[in-house]
Amino acid sequence: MVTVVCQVVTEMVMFGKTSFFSKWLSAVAVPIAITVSATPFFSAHTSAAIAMVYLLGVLVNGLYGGRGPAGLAALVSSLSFNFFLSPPQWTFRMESVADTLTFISLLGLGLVVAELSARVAEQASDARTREARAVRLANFTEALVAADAELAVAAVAERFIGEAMGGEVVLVLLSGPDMPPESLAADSVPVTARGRTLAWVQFKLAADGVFGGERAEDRLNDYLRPLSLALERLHFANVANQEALRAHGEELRSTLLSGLSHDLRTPLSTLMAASTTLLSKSITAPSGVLGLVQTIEEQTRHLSKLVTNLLDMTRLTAGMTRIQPEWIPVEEVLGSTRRRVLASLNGQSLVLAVAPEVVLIFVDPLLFEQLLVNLLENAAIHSRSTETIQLSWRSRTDGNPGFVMEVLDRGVGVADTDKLRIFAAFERGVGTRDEKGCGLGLSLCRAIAELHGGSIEVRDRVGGGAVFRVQLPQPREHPPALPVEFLV
Amino acid sequence: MSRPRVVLVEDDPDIRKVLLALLSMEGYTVYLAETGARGLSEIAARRPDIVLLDLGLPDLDGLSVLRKVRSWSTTPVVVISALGEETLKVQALDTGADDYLVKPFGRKELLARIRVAMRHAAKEIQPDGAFEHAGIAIDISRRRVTVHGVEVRLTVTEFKLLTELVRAAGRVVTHRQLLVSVWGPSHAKDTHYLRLYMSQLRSKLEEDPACPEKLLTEQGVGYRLATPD
Repeated sequence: MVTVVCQVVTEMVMFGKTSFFSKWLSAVAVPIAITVSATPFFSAHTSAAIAMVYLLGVLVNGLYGGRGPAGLAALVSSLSFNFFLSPPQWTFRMESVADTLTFISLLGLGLVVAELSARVAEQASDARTREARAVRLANFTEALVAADAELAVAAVAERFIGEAMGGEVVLVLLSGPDMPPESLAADSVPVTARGRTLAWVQFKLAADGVFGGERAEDRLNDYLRPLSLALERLHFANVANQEALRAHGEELRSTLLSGLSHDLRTPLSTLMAASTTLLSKSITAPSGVLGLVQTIEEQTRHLSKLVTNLLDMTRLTAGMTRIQPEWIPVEEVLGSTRRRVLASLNGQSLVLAVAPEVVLIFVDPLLFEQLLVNLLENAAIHSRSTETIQLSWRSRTDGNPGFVMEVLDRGVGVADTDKLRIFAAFERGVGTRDEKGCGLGLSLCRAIAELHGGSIEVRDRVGGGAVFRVQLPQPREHPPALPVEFLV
Repeated sequence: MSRPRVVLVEDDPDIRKVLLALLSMEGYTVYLAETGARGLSEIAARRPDIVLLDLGLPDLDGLSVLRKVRSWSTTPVVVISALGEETLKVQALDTGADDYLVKPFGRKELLARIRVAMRHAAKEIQPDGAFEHAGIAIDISRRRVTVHGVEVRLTVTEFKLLTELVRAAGRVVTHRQLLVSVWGPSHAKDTHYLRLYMSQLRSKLEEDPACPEKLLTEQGVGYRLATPD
């Protein structure tokens, strides 16, 4: 029997294993073993020493069995001492005062030792657990730092959180909505940063239905925090990357286009000067030849407009042009626009219908004039030479200060499928005889209208043709009027 | 005048060739310079009647060539700028250029600008005399303006403004130049006043103010009084 006890105790001490049975068994067995071993040696001299040995037994039980078994051991120890060892043996009565004191002390001290040793054991155990958790958390964070993509982060998270919580975990990544998709189980936990949900942690319950153990939520949060940081980091790295790519692309495109238009201007100048010289009256040539030179000159003008539009478009989209609106008389814009488009009108007449309340307009003069020129040239290209192009201008009637300007033509009109497309760069209407349109004029119009805070659209005209409508907001306040002067 | 002399300062060889042919055909004697430095020495040596100066020269910036020329000569200079260089050409005009051309330009435009600039230099246009074109008759010394014979009453400022344009007849005058000469240097930026006064002038002097024939707007630059050409 002593051997059995020794075995159990050794097992407990050496391996720290404490099954329920062995804990309580040793609580009883150890004091019994001590009693049996001490019986031949008991005397008045040795009784104190034996009491110490009992206490030692209680201590061991407390360290490895907990306060319950230790308490029992203390009780069994003191009772055994009383019953089996102290005279008169086999009774609970005690003869000497010393023995009585020993009995009481043994019981009392035993209980205290039981409590203290149990506490020590608990704290040591707690410390080990915390250390293990901290190490796991540190490994988790390190693994997260090494993960360079969302999927890698998810894999790391699933492994570590699964281990920590004792079950299977799935990380559902999101990059948008804040509500979990319906496919997620109801007990999914969100991973958030700055109020935004980045992902959902979904738990597959362990077989016994209990997940995580005690204080599971706190432990989970320890893992969720670095996870949300890692996901955020990746998100911002992604955004920065895309931004850099986009900016680089823009830069390339701008450089390319401005270099292109610069290189085109020089040969264009030569062509223009040469062809107009050939067309001058001082040169006599057969009419066939002159006709060809005329074509060269016309195409040069057309190319030149294309290059102008290209250059303007590049500068506008690269944000290099700052719009500088000022109050200008509407007739001034009309006057200089008409002179510019005179050459482009192939016989069409231009009719103006400007409402009397439109006197001053707040626009960037150069840009707005370009918008008008492009619209009028576009109308001229799409109308027959006998038709009239109309320009109407009036204030907005919807209560917001601004004006509505329309260019109306009697051309072939714009198909419904094209009504938005024609304002996109390099698009041409399907099925138009657009030999001279270059696809940039209208998109430049839109860019300019939008820079002014307005809009442009095209609608069908009653009776055939198209209406291009530009709406621009205007400030409520007008500039100060001119001082009154007397006539000379 | 015998064959008028032109100095052309232009770095592009193809344009030089074409302009040389064009101008020679019109009876001009042309001297060529490919760089700003060369241009300055040609101008000094040949004493031309007109200078054509490209603003996009490789060595000296066009404006500094202009400044140097203006420091010792009143020879008319017509600057040639490229598309999209609005501020540069306005700067050139404010620095003393007489007029401008934007590449690509045609023969008619070139010849018209040169002729106007040379006429001013030759004092063919009286700064304080009379001017008449397209029905408008202006007598600056008598402060009288008539349109098709009918007298038109102008305010003091309107008259000053018109006078400046008449003095430059045919040449462009920048916003800044007009503002400074009519209102003074402290008003150099009050463009909207200028526009409103021009609008008033147009309504008094033009048959159709929205389609002016005499008081022309050069958007982004200034105004020009059209001359018979």
